[in-house]
Formats: sequence, structure tokens, C-alpha cells
Amino acid sequence: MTPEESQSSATSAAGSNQRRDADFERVALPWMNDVYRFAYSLTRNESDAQDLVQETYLRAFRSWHTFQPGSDARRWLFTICRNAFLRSRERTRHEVELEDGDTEALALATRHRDMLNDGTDRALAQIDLRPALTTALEQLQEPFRSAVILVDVEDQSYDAAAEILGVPIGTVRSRLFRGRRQLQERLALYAKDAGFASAGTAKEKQSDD
Amino acid sequence: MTSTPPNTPSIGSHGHAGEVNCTRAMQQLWDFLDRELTDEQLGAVRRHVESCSSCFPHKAWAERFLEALHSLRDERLMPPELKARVMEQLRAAGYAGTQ
Repeated sequence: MTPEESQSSATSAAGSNQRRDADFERVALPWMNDVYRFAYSLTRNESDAQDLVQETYLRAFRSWHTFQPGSDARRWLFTICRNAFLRSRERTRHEVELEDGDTEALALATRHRDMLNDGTDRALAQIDLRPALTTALEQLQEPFRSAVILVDVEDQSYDAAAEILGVPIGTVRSRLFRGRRQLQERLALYAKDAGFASAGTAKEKQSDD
Repeated sequence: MTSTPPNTPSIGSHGHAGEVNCTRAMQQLWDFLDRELTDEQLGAVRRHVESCSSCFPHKAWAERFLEALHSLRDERLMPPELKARVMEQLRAAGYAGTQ
């Protein structure tokens, strides 16, 4: 390599690094809040969530060459985040896979019919769901919580959530529906505790989770 | 007649092809609200739930529930010092952007 060639190759390497950094800044960095929310939903602990966000961005930066320009950066970052989280835990999971989503969806409609009948529905109509949902979401167990966070809070499609979580779409669907059902059970309990449900007609019903 | 794919909605009580009955509508309620159905399936579920007095309240409640859940997005913002920590680490790894 002549000195000129070496000079030009060094310049182009610097130029490509500059472009890489600019792309990374424009495409990946704006999602830090979203990654933090997802990280928090996985760790449920602020300090662990912060560590996980740092780990995610470091990995993302190092493997930036694998990112497909124009594809969904949030989905890519969530996938890295999820993988980093799993590796940091190395936990063995013995998850019972669920019945299919159709059954789960139907169970929810049946449950809501009970809520209409026992007055819980009227009680729920009177309360602000947000604070109750915040608590309920924190208490929701994995693997349901990640599915709900990704699809319902972060607006990911079933397909994107399946890729991020590394499971088939049908599994995302059943986890999501089960998670939603558990959240609704907690909302019903919250409405009763808040004293809105008429005690006379409310049937005491144990939640099945 | 062509053969029927396994996921084709069942024929509703009015007998038109492409209609769904209550059971099928409730099985597909979440897919419907999540826009995870084909246009044809979305239309079939929409026609059913908008006109069925039994299914409509389920749809209304499910919508309110999902809206409340989605609004939680505004609630957990990252601590302000986190961004500085991330940037510091990225710089140590070779990042030299303007942020």
C-alpha cells in the first residue's frame, strides 16, 4: 500500500465510522426511553433496568453492522434487550405452555359477562383504570408481562413480539390474552376493594391465577 | 365451491358467507382490536360486534381496557442520569457522535 492509499483508506475508515455513529445516533438512540420501559418490565427494578439499558445499547452499538437499514429499530433493540436479560439471568424456565389463544379469548368474554352480571362492570366504569393497571402490571408474572408490555404498551405487532421473545406467534397470542385476563381479574378486585361494587349482588369469585 | 380454509369464520345466524357468530366474534375480539386479522375477517367481526347487543359491551370494555393500558406508556420515563451513563459507555466503546 502506498502512503497515499494508506492515507485514503484511513480517511475512509474514519468516514465510515462517522457515518456509523451518525446513523446510530439518529436511528437507535431516540428509543432509549422505550428500551428503558421494556427493560424495567423485565427486571422490575430500577437499578437493574438501568444496567440492562446500558448493556443493550453497548451490544447494539457493537453489532450495529447487523442492523438492516430501514427496518424497525425499536424491534431490533427490544430483541437485544430481551436476549441480554435472559443471558444475565440464566434462569431455567419450566413454563407450562398454555391452551390456545381462542380458548383464552373466549374465557375472557365469559368472565366479562360475569362482571356485567355482578355489578363489577358498573364499578369499573366509575374508576380511573390507570393506577390500578400500573400496580396490576407490576404484579403480572412472566411470561405474560413481556407479551402485554410489548403489544399493549409498546405497540408491537404479534409478529414483532414473537421475534423479540423468540417464540411462535401463537404463543405470543395466548400469553398476551392470558396476561390481559389476569390484569382484568386484578381490576375487578380493585374495583371491589374500592367499594364501588354493590356488596349485595357481587358474587365472591376466586381468581384462577 | 372452493374448499374452506380451517380459519374461515363460521357462518353466522343470518347465513351469509363471511359472517361470524357470537362465539367466533369473541374468539377473535382481541385479534380484531389488535388489527391482526385480514380485512375480510376484520369486517366480519366489526359487523357482528356493532350489531350484536350481547357482544357489543365486551368490545366496548375491551377497548377501554386497551386504551388505559396503552396510556401507561407515558408513565415510566427513564431517570435523567441514565442517558449520560449510556453515552459515556458508548464513547468508551468508540462512539464519537454529537450526542
